[in-house]
Amino acid sequence: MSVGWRREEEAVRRFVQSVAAAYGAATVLADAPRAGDAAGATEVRVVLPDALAAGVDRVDLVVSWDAPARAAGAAGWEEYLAALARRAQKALLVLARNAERPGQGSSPDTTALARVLWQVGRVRQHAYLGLPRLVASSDVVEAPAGALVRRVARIHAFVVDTAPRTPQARRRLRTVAAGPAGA
Amino acid sequence: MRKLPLLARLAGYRVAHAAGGPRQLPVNLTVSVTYSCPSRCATCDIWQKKVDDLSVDEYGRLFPTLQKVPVWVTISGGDQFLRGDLDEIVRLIKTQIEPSIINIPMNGIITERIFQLLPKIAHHTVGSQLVLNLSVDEMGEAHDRLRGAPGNFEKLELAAGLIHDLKKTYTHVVLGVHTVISKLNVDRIPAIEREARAVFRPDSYIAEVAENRVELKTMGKDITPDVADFRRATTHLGNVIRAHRSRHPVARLVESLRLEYYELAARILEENRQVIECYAGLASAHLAPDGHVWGCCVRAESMGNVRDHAYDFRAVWDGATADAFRASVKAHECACPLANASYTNLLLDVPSLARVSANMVGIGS
Repeated sequence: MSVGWRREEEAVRRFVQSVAAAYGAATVLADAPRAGDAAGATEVRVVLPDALAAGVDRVDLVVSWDAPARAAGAAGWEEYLAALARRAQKALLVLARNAERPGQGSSPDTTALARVLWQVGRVRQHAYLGLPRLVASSDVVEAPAGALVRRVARIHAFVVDTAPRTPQARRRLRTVAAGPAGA
Repeated sequence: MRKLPLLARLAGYRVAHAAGGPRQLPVNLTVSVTYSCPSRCATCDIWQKKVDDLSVDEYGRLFPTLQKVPVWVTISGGDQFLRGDLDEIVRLIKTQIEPSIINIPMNGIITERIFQLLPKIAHHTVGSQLVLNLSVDEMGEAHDRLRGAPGNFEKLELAAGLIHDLKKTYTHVVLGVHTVISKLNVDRIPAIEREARAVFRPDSYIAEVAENRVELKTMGKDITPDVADFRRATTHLGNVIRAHRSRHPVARLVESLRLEYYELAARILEENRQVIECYAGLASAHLAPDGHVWGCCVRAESMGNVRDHAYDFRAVWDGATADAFRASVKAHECACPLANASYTNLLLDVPSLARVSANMVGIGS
C-alpha cells in the first residue's frame, strides 16, 4: 500500500470519526467497511448496501462509500441516497469519488450530487480528503476550495443534516409527535 | 441563438441613444414578481399595492420574446418568496433568457419557504452567477423596527447560514448584504457596515440611497438623507471597498461599479440632474408583477402591458409610448440615483467604464 493511499485511508477514517463525534452519533450504519471505521465510542454496523437501503429502523448517522458507483444500476444512486437519508436521524455522510479529478470514471459531479443531497437534507459540509502534502498540509480541505484542490483530490465528502431544517419545521415535528390537540 | 458580445451590444445602445438607431432589447432587466410583502419598512409602502401577478405560464410565454438579450436579471418584489412558484420562475429565466447574472434581493423573512426554494433555485441557476443580497438596514432589533418585521434580523442570520452552506456545493452562489441608506440610518452606516460584515460574512457589501419612487409608493416620504450625510456614508463605504477587495470576480465587478455608483449618486443628489446619460427604457427595463413594462421603477410609467400584446415584450418595447418615455429621459426631464439603472449607465459612459475596468484590475482609486 502506497504512502498516498494510506494517507487517504487515514483521512477518511478521521473524517468519519469527526462527523460522528460532531453529531453525537451513538448509532452508525455504513454500507462498506471503508466507510464504517467511526471507531471510538460509537457503535458501528457495516451492512450490505441493499440491506441498508431496504431497512426501516433509524440510526443517528448513516455513512455511505462511493454510492453512485456501487448502487445497483447507474440510475439507482439517487434513490439509494434518498433511502439512506430516510434512515439517518441526524446526518448522512456521503463519501464519493471526485469527478473533477481526471480519470474518475463516471462519478456524478458535485452539482449532480448536490441536487440530490439538498433534496434529502441540508448539506452542512463539503470537504476534499486525502490530498498530497504538496497540495495541502491538512488532510481535509473544506469547500469552497481552489481549483488545484478540486482537480487533485480523489475523494470528497458531503455531510447532510437530515434533522428538520427550520425552527418552523422542528415545531411542526414536535406538534405531530405530541399527537392531535386535545387528544 | 448566439449572444451578441456585451461590448457590441453596449455600442448599439449608444448609437440608438444618440441617433435613434435600431432598438435593441434591454440588457438589464428587473422582473418584479409580486408587490406583496410581510415587511412594513419605513422606506417602502409597496405592500399596499394589490395586482393580479403574472403566472408561471404567462412568464413562460413572455421570456422567450426577450430573445436571450438580458445579461443581468434582477428578481425583485415585494417579497419574492411569498410566491411558492419562485423556483419555477427562476428556472424559466435561466433556461429561456440565459442571463449571466441573476440577482435576488431578499428580506429573509419567510424562513421555511426560503429553505425549501433556495436549494432548488441554486440548482436551476448553475451556469450563471446567482447573487443573493440580504437586505440589512440596521443591526438586531433596530433592523426589525426599521423594517416593521419583528424577528427579521434573526431570520436573516438563518438565511445567511443557508446561503453559506449552499456556497459549499454551488460555487456560482454569491452572498451580498445590501443596505438602504435613509435619514433613519445614515449616521450609523460605518457601524452597520462593520457589524453586518462580521455577522453575515458576505462576499460583498453594497448600499443604495433611499429615494422617492412611484413603484414603492414613497413619493411623499421624507426618507432621502441629506447630501452631506450621504457623502460621509459613501466615503466610508468606498474606503472599505478599497481596503478589502473581494477576490470573487463578480463581487469584485460589483464593488468597482459601486465605487463609481457612490460618487455618481452623491453628485446626482447634489446637482439634481443626470450627471451621465441615462439609458433607462433603452438598455434597462422593469417588468411589473402584473405585466406592465416600465423604463424604470422610479417613474414606473407603463410603456404597455404584455398581457395586451400576446406576451410579446418586443411589441411593447417598440411601441410609441416606449419611445415617448425614452425621449423624455433623453431630454433630461428626470434624474435619480437608482442603482440598478445606474450600473448600466456607468457601463455605457466611456470615462466611467474606463475607471470601473481599471479598478477591477487594481489600477487607480
